[in-house]
Amino acid sequence: MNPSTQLENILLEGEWRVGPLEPKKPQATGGHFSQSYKVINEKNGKRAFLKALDFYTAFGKGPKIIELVATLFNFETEILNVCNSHGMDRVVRALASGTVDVDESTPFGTVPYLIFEEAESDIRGHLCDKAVSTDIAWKLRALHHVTTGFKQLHGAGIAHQDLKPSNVLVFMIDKTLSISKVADLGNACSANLPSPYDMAAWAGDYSYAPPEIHYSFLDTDWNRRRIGADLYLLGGLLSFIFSNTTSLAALFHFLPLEFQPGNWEGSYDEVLPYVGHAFTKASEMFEASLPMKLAPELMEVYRQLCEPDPRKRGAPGVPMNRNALERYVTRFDLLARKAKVGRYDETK
Amino acid sequence: MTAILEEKDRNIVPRWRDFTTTVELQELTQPVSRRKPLDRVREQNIEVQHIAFEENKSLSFAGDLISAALVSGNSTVANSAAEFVLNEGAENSSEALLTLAKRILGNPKLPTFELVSATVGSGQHTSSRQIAELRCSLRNAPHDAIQWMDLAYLFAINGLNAKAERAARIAHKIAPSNRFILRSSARCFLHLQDFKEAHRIVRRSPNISNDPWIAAAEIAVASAAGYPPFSVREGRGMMSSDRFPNHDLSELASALSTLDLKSGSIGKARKWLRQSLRAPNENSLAQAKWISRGIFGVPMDVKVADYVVPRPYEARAFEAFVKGDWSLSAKCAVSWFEDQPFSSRPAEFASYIIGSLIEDHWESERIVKRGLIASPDDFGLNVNLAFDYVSTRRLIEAKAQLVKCRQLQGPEWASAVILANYGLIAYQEKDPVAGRIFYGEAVTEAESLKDKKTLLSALVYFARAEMEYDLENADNYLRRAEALAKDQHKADTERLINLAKDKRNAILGRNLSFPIK
Repeated sequence: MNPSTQLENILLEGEWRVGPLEPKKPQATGGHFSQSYKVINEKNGKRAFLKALDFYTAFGKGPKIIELVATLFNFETEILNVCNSHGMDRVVRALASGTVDVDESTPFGTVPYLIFEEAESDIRGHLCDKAVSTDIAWKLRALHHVTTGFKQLHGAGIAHQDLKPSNVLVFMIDKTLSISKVADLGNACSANLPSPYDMAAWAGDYSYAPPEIHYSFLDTDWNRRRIGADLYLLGGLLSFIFSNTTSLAALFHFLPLEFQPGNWEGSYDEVLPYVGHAFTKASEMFEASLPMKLAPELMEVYRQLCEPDPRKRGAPGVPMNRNALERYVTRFDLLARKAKVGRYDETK
Repeated sequence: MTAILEEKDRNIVPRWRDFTTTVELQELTQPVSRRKPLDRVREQNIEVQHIAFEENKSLSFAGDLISAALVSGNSTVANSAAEFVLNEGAENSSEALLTLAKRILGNPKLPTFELVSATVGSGQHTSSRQIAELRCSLRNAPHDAIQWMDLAYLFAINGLNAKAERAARIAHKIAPSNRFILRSSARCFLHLQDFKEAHRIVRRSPNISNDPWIAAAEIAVASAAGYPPFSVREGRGMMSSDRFPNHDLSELASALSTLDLKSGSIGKARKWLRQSLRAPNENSLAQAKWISRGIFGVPMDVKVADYVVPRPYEARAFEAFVKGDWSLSAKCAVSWFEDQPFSSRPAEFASYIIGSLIEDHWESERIVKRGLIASPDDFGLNVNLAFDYVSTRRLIEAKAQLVKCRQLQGPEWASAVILANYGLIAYQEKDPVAGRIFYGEAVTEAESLKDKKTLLSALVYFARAEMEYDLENADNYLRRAEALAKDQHKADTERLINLAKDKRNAILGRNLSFPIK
């Protein structure tokens, strides 16, 4: 028996009661070696989500995989500790972590786990609600929250590297108020801690990765490469929230096949004029998807965040730190406030 | 009398088209030696997104799946999501999502951006709107070199040469090593008669020794500008390296062939020419056709129909011209002009056939006027317009147009053609005495130049005008023209003579028409 699937009904740290095992879904690399449970805090009734490390399955794949899984888990735990110590309120926090002895007689009977805040849904689920999907103020506020989360991470020298709609979790405070938080730091990189993905070109989901990654263009500057990639992911989320499409998909839609990654063997600098032209077209398509009154203000942000040239990405006029997110936090906050008072209401 | 259709030196200078067309013609593909097999499918989360969509069936989950599918190149996995989006319709879906959903379902072809404009039928109005749209787009994307180059193209089509130059310079500054930008800017500066700049742009390219398209452009531009070509050795190296497919080498082979022909190395020229025809594009085919017309005494029978190339308008126009198929030649010449609307050469060629050989002066005028937008000071086009005016009895306009022609810098035969047109005006004004004086001076001018083609043309038109007044005198001129035509063996001169004979027969009221092709 796989010990990581045997956690049901166990009481962890004297307060977290483990519920039934969640059905397994196909997932990316790291998720292959973890099991999910719902847990409930018996002291305060708080519901949460438990991620149990599955060494047992990893064992079948060989010792190198076990080592990798352990490294990844330790890194995620360390990163989450940093987040907790910095009080990052827009990043999904680990409420508890540790190990539990399930069955000492079997190998890997001690199961490491992490307990996270449980969200209402990810942002895709929230956008299913018709009222939400047409609520400009809510969308801008969600972007404000996520940008704040990124700013908090970047402030601690952490680049998320895997922001996508499924990694933005929405927490309901009450019936009308919600908070969006950034989740899944499993693919993050740190400027201060050695990360298992430090040597990898990209650890996150390639479907959302910035275009330079697809052309294997790797900037030697950590900030431009990792934080710059985060900016692109943020722009991709902006695109998704307002058009249900990602900036990368729109870019590839307008990029002739001969210039697409895989067909193009030249350098990224050589293909940039074509990628830049496709980006112009993609931007125009996205602009047409925006509410007319909001478009001029939001397009400036979109163009800065999704700029295909990582050296030009971010806020112009801040040469020392183009990738600083402060101004975007302020901008989304302002736009959300304006939207709240109906400034972008098309009927007015 | 129209401008004389000269057998000008032809160099395989790069074509200049809008970006989308250039991509479609596969002139921007990478050399195959640097290409690796398609490897787009990396480890993806598409399966997760697919399950999430099936569980939730909403636009947000559909959009997430569609986006991931497009990026991965695996569209089929998102078919049901795309259908879902299209069923939701424009009321609920964003324009971007609808566009991508349509792409997933039925339209694997890339979107095209209909830029051009300058089809002969459309006027400046359409172009102006497109220019405005491009400028608006560039305000938001000032670093988009491709858009700047397309803007330069539209400016050039509309005769806004200073603006075209500025836009081309900006494009080149942004992307100085890009093939599309380099070749287009070089052609732009050739159009603007700035040969030095045209050559400087291609010569300084860092890719001149490893990109056959750029080396070909450098050799051709240098030849057109009268400079020694810089990349001949590199070009020959690329030709013998087996690094490039024939399609990528065609223009380079053609450029080397032209160069060797001019230096008299006929054998080498023939070798390169054959190589250029292994996988030609329309430009190298037209070049081969030009060479095969025997200008340099290299008889090679190049038939356009033997090659499947898009837009072989120039080559086909000349092929039909040599055969005397005026209708086909005119049609292809107009298509050639539509393909290269900034260039005066196809407009002049088309108006010569349509005006002089088909005698549809209204249509010829329409083409000439379109050509004059891009090349307002082109002597040939201006004098053809004057001839169209005279031929349709708009004498005041014709005189004004001839005044303009006199102020333009024209070729050697310019004054002979101007005099001939004044002669025709005089005949139209029922003043045969003045007409004879003008035509006589035109003939004398052509004789002094020892320009048989101009002389023949002047004699034919003199004869046609004189027929109304003195048939015997007209016959003398026509006989002289026929004697000159015997040496030339040109279908167009035969056609001019036959048209004159038809008119003579019509005047005599006899049905003795000579067979006309």
